[in-house]
Amino acid sequence: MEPKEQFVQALKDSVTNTFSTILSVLPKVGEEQWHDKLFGACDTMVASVGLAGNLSGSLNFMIPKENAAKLVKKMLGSDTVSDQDVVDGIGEIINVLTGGFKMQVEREYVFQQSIPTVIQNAQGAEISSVTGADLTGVRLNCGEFEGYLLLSYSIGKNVPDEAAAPAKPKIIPQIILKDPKA
Amino acid sequence: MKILVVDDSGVQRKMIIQTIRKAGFQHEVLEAGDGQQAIQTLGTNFSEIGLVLCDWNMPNLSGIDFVEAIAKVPQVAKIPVFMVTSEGTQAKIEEAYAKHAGLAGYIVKPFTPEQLKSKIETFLK
Repeated sequence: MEPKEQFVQALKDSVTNTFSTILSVLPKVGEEQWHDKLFGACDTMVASVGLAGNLSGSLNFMIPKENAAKLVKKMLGSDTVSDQDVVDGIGEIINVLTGGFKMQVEREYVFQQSIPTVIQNAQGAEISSVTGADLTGVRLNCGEFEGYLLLSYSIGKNVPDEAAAPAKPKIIPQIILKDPKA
Repeated sequence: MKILVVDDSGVQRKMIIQTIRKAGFQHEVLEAGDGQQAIQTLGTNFSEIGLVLCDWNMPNLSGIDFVEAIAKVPQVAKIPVFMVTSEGTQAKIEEAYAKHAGLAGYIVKPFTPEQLKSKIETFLK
């Protein structure tokens, strides 16, 4: 299977598992041209996780802000959510989607994932790949909301060998126990 | 007994707390947004905390570093700790147990409330 084909399948599997588990909704997941199908002039949120390893780039979840709020309300089972809840919720979704994608491709690709970044108020947002990188993705539709999961990637030749370039020794803070009676 | 929930996502912390409450447990829940905060909270409340649920990828200090710190202190090393994370590859699971051999469990996101409940309820009774 070609890498692009494998990535699309991994994205589809991750979307299906994530949304059916968290929201009990089976999303429709399709492979479509996204360039002319993004969200026009509406406020869009983009949540991104960076990937670094023999697969590097970023995984990006794009969703209209109004739909993002609906999604997070459903996650929390609540009629109201704060703006911070929406940011946290969309960040958590891309985090889980990335973890699911990673598990699908772990035999061939080893990479670290960053903590999520969420961009708000992006009108008519569109993601394009830079020279040397490829772009693929899927469109998801859960009825009440739809979004895009886009992978911008570059494939390295070798599996990163941490032993070849040992990381600096990490200093782990010590837990200082404080006597509650003191 | 108190429960310490460590996750940088406020929404994820709320979802975990909702699951604990829906399962019928009324334990006080302490929250931390990263490993650094968790170290402070555990240090101050170590005698009352009976369960730790910890994410992996967090700013400042990661969950796995926090778990490693727990394993090094005998007074807290026996507290049941679950990793609750989107990092579900075999390599990451093995890494977690290498850092803390006494880890009580490893829960991969996404999970249903029922799946979380079934893993942790033994430690809450």
